[in-house]
Amino acid sequence: MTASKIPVTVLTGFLGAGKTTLLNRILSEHHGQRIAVIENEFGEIGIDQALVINADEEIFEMNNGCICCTVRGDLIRILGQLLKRRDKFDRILVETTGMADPGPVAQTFFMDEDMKAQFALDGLVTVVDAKHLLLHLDDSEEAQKQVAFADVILLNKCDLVTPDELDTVEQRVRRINAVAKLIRTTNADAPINTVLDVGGFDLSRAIEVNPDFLQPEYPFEWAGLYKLDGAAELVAGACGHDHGHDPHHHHVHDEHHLKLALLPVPASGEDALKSAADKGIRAFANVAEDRAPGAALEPSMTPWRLDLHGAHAHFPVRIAAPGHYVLLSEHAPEEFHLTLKSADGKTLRPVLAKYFEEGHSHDEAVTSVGIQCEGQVDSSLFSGWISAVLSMQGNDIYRSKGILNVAGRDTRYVFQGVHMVMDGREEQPWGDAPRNNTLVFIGKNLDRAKLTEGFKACLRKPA
Amino acid sequence: MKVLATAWQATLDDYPTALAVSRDGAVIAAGTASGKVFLFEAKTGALLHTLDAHANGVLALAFGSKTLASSGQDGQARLWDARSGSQIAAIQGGSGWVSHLHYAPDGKRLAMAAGKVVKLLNDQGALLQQWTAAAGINGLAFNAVGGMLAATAGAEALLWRCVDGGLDRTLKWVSTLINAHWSPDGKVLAAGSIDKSVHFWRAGAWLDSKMGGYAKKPAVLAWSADSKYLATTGEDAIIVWPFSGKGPEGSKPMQLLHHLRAPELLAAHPKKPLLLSGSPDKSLVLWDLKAGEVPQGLASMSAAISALAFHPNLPLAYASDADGQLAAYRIDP
Repeated sequence: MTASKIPVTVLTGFLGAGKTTLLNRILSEHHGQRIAVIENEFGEIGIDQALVINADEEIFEMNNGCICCTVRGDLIRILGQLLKRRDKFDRILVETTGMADPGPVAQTFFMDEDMKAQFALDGLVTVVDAKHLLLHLDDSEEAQKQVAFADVILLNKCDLVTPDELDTVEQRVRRINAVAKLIRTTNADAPINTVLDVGGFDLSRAIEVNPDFLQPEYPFEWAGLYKLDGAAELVAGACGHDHGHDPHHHHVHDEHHLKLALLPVPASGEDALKSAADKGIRAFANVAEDRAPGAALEPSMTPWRLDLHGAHAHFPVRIAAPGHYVLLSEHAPEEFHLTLKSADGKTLRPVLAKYFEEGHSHDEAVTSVGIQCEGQVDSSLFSGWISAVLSMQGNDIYRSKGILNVAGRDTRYVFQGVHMVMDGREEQPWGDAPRNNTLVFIGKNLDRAKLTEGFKACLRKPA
Repeated sequence: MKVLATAWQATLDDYPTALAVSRDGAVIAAGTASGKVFLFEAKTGALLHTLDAHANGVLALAFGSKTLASSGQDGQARLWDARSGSQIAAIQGGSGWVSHLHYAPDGKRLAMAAGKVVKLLNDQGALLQQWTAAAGINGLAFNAVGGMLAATAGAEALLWRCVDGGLDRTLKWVSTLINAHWSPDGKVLAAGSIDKSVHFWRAGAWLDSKMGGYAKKPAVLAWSADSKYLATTGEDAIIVWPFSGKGPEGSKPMQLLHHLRAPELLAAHPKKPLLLSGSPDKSLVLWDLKAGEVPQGLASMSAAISALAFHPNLPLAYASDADGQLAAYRIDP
């Protein structure tokens, strides 16, 4: 953060989540600093020395109708006046309403030249109520955005939910925003230094803590490695609701069709399963061929879409040679009573099987995509690529952040963006630290493979 | 280049946010971020009155024929007797700060805006009309005869009739309009937009015309007294559009370039085609729009320029800086 710019912390969260409690704690524990608070909803500020300004949320709109270009007029007006005061402020806190879109608030500090010159967005802090968050995420795009935009998320009122419920909430939050600092609190009692000055936020460390979001999103939920000696038969049936399934595993999908693929692997073992899964991502990207019951199935990079109307459908499986094969299934096999039987009718058990985390693509509209790799970034290729990505997908990309190893530079290049706008600068030297590149995108309709491929094309070819 | 001579100087208690000279030229008022308003004899700089006007800061000042109006962050507008400095009335704005304050040309009716609410008052502070826009008011201007009040809110300019309060028409653009300026002859309404363009509508036809190509948003506009020039900020140079003859359509604007940093303040002389510009680089420049792109005078203050004003009759211009200095400069040729 540039020393001369005044840091701005944005507090978001639904009414009753605990924003005002957090605000009062920041104000009371930071008595050494002059803090101005801009509020869009009335809260009980219990601290006299802070300057509190109430404002009506006001969106300034741009001609292209693009949400990425909208800024908050009320903030521009108020912050412009604050600069005229003799008593300079060390910090600004902006508290938004639960219904506010964090986009225009954040964009104000990137888009407006005057604001950009004087203020730096330090961080977006979202306070959520652990008991009601899931409900809010289902009902409200604002709640999803507030989680997606956050640099820090306070999972507040943890005392009101069971540890299991808390885990469920946390997993849901993580699926939307994989890199925010997540703090469990009961009374918004997070250490203040975890909420303020997060501008120096360490993206690499966040990825170490939570490496999951670097994993590709598999378009299937299950892979089983089988040893097949000859022809086999695949049996499957549409799942009903009367089989006593755990309701958590019931999500909305087409109950009468199932997408599958069978891929040969050279040997048994974890590595073979993993390589088949990676190959399966490409296979599942191909248009599936419909297969009616009785139609033969053969190993192929083209997946099949099985018609499962009726109780149990039987499909002969034909293989060219005995060996190891990996069956990839769109849904968990137990949901469709999926089994493989040998020619003599015995049920075949997989040698190895693996479940892939479900829900990335179909439960949650907003997700995180992380990219981490070694190599030197060509700065002109990168700026061309990132501006193309943000200008074409900026509506859907809420936040982007990254730390890059730029060719010819000994310092880390750090950038962050909000929708279509981004800002980058050189930060501390790499020194002896291993040099690599870390990027994250949080938003809707993100294509992990395409983003990864696009970024890797910005790397210098090894000499 | 001629350096403007200082006629007098004063030190204020805080950042000067607004300057205004009375219509008869007797008094200059300066409002500050501390909330005080200082009244000086315009010719000599003798301090006449200090008013405790608005807690948390003054935002706007305007002189009527016999009254001074001030508004501020306390959510109030106040009317003062311009001679004695005694308060006549205090008027609650709406919600939040009272950011805009303008007298009609007759000097007897006052318009004020706070948030989405606009009020029209007489010179005793009695309410004549009240309007509420759909968005916050970013600009307010009376037309020449004072019968119509224009307010920009969101991407629209709303034209209200003062006599019956009716909405005469709505002029639409697609991006938020950030100010409103009616030409002194009442023939053209101009407004800057956040999309880095300036719009104008000619009274009668009311067709939207757009002047684009700005590097930044044109936050400040100023019409010359003869309505022949519209000066705008938003570039390193001041962009001046000609409105005489064929008008700005197809014409090249004048570009007044002298400040080291883009000027953020403009003031037009109430009678002559003179313009003052002020910059964060501490400089102010005097321009004669008839003389073209050549600066006529220059002065430097000790901090960023915070406000500007002309004297209506005497050859004096006023400027204040962020350190609280107020200076009167001689502008006689």
